[in-house]
Amino acid sequence: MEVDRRQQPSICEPGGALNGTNRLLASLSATDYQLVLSSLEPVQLPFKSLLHARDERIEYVYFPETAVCSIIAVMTSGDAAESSTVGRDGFVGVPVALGADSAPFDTIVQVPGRAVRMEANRFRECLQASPGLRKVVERHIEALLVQSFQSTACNRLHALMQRCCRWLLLTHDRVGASEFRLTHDLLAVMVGVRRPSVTLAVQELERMKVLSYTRGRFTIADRAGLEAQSCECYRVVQDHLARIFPAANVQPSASGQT
Amino acid sequence: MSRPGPLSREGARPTPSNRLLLALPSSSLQRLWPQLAPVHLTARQVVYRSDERIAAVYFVESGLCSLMTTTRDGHSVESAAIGYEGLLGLTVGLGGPSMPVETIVQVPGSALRLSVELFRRELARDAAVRDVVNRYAHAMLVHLLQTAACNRLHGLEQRCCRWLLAARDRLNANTLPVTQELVATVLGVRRPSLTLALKSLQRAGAVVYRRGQIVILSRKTLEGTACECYAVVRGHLEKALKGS
Repeated sequence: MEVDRRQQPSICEPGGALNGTNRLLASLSATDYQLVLSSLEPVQLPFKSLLHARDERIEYVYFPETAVCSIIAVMTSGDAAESSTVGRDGFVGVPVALGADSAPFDTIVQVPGRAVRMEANRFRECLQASPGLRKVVERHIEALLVQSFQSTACNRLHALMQRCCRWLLLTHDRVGASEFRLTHDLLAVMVGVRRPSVTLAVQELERMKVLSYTRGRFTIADRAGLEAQSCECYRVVQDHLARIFPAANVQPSASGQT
Repeated sequence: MSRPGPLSREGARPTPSNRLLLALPSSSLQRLWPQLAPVHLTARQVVYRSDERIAAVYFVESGLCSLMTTTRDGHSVESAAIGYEGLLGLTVGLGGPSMPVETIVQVPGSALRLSVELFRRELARDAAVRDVVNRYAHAMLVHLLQTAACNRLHGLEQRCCRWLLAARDRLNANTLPVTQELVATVLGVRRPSLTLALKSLQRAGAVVYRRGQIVILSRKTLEGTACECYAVVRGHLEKALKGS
């Protein structure tokens, strides 16, 4: 039976405390959680909204719950490719935790949904005040580094179809439901190709009955099939993340099997 | 690992070449200095295997190291090149036990070694050390995220120029003691493709390549041909090293 995480209460709702779906916040000690709680504000993140703009001062850090975000490098030519995916597994605003106030990337909302946010300055204060929070945040930064290393190789060495499947898997994990909103346009940006190429790949996956796509929504029908079509980069990163977060269940629960 | 000689005694004036160490306030560097052991980085030395538990970090003083990501079918791509601006074993600074990729010496040089225990102790007690390592971590993250996109979007010639410029910055020399084989490996391409790119750069007067070395003749031409990723990453590194 699949758990649709969109039905779980937000961390800020009564009874939502520590049952909140952002894993970083859920892993905080009670003391650290109390420290950040009053500064957390629930927000609804619309499709394709720009959370952080390239080289602009970061005002808020975000802890996604059901939303999934993409860190995208946009070249002067206008070509863009996604460099990383962040969802309930992490947070958006790593520069702030590392003593910077901006980064040369856009962070956009790839799958709309819920998140909680905190003012960047307040986040800095909390990090200063709590070694426990720093430690948890550092693990997530390590996770981002691990994923980034893998992406440098994947983007150079692996074929479009494999990379498409990898991104779909990453999104599927973070959304926690077999159906999610995502367009070919956005998937094309994530994979760093032109949209027609993505359309061809998606049609192939539909023919294989791995997924279906209708009007901006993907439905994953065969999770195992999707993994089989992906390059190893998905599994390699998952294995690493399992080592960094040994207590967490990094796999979606038996989702997508019909 | 072999050592070139005894370290200066406590109280002697620190003389690092490593830019992270140079970015520290003098009190922090003074305290750290006696704990740093000079070591050689020898050609093709594997400093860390991927996922191998790390015993010490290295502040590079000279030479060039590659962080290589290798796929299961044996293909490799360099994810980052590190010289005297950087640190080997960055994930340790974030509490991790190992690096997820292999670190290998491409051009021999030297480094200052610090045990993991001492490194973690310094990070915990000296905010200035924590701050420098954090800023470097951000510069590395920017490099990796930009490179992921670059590897997807940019052509070989652009990427080659980018790599040559970065290698030049790290080695502080226009004569790069690198083979075509090495450059092809780091860029994740077959050697014939790399040779074509180098021929084109040579025709343009940007480089001269010979057996075992690539000489940069015109940095300006290389900068003109390189993708913007070179400037973006370099800009962030310089910003990170300058401090808050």
